Amino acid sequence: MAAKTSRKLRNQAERALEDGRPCFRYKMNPGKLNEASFYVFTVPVEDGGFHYFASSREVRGLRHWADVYRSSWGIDTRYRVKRGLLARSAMRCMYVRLFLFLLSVLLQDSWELMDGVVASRLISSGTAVSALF
Amino acid sequence: MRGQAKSGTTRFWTYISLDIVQDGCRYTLAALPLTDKRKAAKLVGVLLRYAAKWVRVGVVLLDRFFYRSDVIRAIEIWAWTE
Repeated sequence: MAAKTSRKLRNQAERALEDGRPCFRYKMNPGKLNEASFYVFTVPVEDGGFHYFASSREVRGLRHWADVYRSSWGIDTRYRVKRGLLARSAMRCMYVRLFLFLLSVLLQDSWELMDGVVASRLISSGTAVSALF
Repeated sequence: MRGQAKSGTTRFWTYISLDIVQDGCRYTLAALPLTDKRKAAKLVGVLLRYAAKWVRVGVVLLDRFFYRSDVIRAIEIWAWTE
């Protein structure tokens, strides 16, 4: 999970990095009823900053796990970016909106699944496909 | 839910969705309406239990919105009971 950066988290991450530990144990809300304890691992990015990730396990091979996390990118973005994806409605009923949302997602997923199946069949049969839009 | 102003409103419909990521493909298994941030932990638990019925869960990936202690505890409880 991507961690929201706070001053406390950043300070602790800096100290851990100085000690050569990119992964360290972190306590959220210590001493309170909703205390939670987990690992935070720090991944340097190209612009000189850092990305912080929270994890239930101590992480080795940070780059690998950052790449695993990257694979989930685009899930919510596709709802926002692809304007035609979601059904438009002014209904105030939550259930109708949920139905329309799920229907839109189902259609999109079916399309992508079919697209993948057809593409893999064409590639395996050696057929060249090109399209002009 | 309330959010940053966009298109003349600060109120938005929010959904929490359960997706599987396999071989670079992403498919949505379920979605639930989210009316309150505080209910996120409960819904995450519901969705994880639902996912475990259908697929073998290897890694749970969540975005920044779920960086809350109650969500983390809900995931830990789910992991213990699985």
